[in-house]
Amino acid sequence: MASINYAQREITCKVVYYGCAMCGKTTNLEYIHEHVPNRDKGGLVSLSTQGDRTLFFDFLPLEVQDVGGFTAKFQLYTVPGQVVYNATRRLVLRGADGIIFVADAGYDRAKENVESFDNMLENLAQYGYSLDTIPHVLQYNKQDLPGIAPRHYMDFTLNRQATRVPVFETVATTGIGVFDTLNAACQLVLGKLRTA
Amino acid sequence: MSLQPVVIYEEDDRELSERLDAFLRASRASLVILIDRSGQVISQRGYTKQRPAEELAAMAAAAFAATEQVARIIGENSFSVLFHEGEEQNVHLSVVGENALMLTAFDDRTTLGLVRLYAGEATDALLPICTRIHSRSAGAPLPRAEAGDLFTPDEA
Repeated sequence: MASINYAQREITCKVVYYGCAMCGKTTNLEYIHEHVPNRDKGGLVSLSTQGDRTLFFDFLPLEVQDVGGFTAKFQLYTVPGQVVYNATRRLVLRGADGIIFVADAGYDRAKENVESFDNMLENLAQYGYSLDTIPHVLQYNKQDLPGIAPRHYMDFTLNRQATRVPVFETVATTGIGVFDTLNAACQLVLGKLRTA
Repeated sequence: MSLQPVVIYEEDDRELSERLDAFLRASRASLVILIDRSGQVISQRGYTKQRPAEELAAMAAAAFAATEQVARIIGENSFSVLFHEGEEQNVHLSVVGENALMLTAFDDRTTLGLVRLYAGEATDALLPICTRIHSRSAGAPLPRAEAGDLFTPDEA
């Protein structure tokens, strides 16, 4: 849930990276953390297993100094992608102001993407949220790998709301499209706040 | 759960600071952070030499949310207090209504008993303010941000 502090001139928002296991959510945050200038970021915290799989979430606080006279703080979270961790995914979604759904563009991952997307809708519904009210964008990741599904196929399976949402084709390991995705999601979240 | 933002005006900010300062003085704790259940800092007073408050708040809210699930599994609605004891620093978390938590960090200059005693009073005093800031819409309009990228990667 965003907070607007008129006394401190601060806006704080929560943006969640959601998606199936191994789709690149943590890689997005790692790339952002490595490449955002130091003045704009805090530490990246990863609550992961010894095998580097996300157990609870990753957390990265970012800050933009002057957004129309306010400091805008964005708290980026990832959810654990593994199916078994649904309870923790739901906890991380609590109070989300924006969502970046990361899909693995591999043809053979279509089923996992769709299941994860439907799981996200179910978890949002538990809080009374829906994609009609939460700003969100789609990211089709791993465009550098062989065997990726074409854009129209990805759209057919995932970009299926009444209003089409922005889509970014990315390679999170090298950063292609990572900042475009982040900026689009953050701008949508700020835009939504202005109309709240 | 509402998607309405938490809206804090100057009078709320001042009142929160006063309540939290009074709690710090009475309990002799070193740091207190009022946290939205989604992990955001609402207000903070005192001193932290380690991690920034944002990080502490995000982790504490997550730990509390996970513990709440544990409570439900064993048939409790919730645990109202959570305490983590360290060798030098301790953390005490208490519930402030449905939407907020109060995190207190303290060392051996005070005791758990004293912190618990004054935390109860402080959460009672904070509850009406938290209810107020969680239940209203932004009155003053937010300024429009410049178009363009908020974040750009460092070239280095």
